[in-house]
Amino acid sequence: MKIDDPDAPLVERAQRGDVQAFEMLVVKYQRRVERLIARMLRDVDLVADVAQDTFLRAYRALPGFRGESAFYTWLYRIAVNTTKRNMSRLQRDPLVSESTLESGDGEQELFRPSATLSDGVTPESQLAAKELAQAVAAAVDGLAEDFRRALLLREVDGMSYEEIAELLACPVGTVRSRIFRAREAVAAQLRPLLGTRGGERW
Amino acid sequence: MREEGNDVTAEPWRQALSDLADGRAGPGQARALAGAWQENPSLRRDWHAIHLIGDTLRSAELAQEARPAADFLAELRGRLAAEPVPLRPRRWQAWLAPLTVAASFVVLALAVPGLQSMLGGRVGSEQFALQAPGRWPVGTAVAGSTLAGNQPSFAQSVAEPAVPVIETAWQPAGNAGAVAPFELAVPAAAYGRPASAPR
Repeated sequence: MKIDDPDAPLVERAQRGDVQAFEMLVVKYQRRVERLIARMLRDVDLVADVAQDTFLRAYRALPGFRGESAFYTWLYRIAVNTTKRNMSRLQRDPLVSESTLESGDGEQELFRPSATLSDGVTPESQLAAKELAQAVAAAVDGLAEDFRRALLLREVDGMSYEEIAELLACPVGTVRSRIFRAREAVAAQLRPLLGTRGGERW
Repeated sequence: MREEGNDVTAEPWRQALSDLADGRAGPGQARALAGAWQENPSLRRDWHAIHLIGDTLRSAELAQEARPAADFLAELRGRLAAEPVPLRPRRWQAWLAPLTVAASFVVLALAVPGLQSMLGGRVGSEQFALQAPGRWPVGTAVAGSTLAGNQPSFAQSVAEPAVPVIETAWQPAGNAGAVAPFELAVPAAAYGRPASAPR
């Protein structure tokens, strides 16, 4: 396992048969996998189905994952391949409209600005997504500066705790604690919004 | 985390979840959290929130799931339950099968006195005892035996020249029937997971 892969502890557990550890990885990556698929397929129902298929294939292929790449890189490739398989299956289906499919290599779709997961989604859920994004931004803006900076450096800039500690001139333990508390504060503000969305009933 | 027992809503658990999200959790924490996952909706909700926040900060597009996460997971869980659990055979390669036969042969040789004398050597069970917990270089252990005199043993002859270390749960030689050198794939549903306290 790549030493700096943050998914290493969960992947290693999953490879030892811990299905719950795999589920944690699914919850972590569902959105990113769906967005990747949505660049190639426009129908939202199909996106979710292909995402399901992707995680199932990843689960089966787990024993072969040797950690030569990061787990997400590996998962990404499975998502692209699974989507391509589904695309060729869909192309043979006369009932599927052309607008459901995007042509071209999924990898090239990466930089198409108009492809969003919201395409094909109802106005209500589009609004809900926008509200949620705005709520996250507002909650983060409302954090005390030290907490906001720590969270953003971690989540947006992808810095390690050590790098953040150096930047913010504080101990690593403080960074760890600030990120934790920042997440708690933001999550608390999102709770009312998340609680009313269909399906957010854990 | 131990002092808080099963209360995953207690702060050490929530802190551990945040640690895990950043790849800062140890194996013990990962095990405890994964162990508590099924029984604790608050854990699932918090883990989901951590990553929703991170994803959305990186891209507003990611605020929306194509299928709500809890539903998505429930559906996938049903499919996973029908799968055999895909276990990674630790470092074992394609030669596992013949080596397993060889290993069984070796253990059998120890367990059956007549067979030992047939093979012409006296084999002390201590030569096959676990050298160190879980790690047993097959080549050297077998070379240490006096099985079959100076002739290469069956196990040696099938082992590759550069034999990787096998991590195995070998029993001492007297317990031949208890050897189970690799993990079998069983349906996930067979893995009953009790609500677990952190270990």
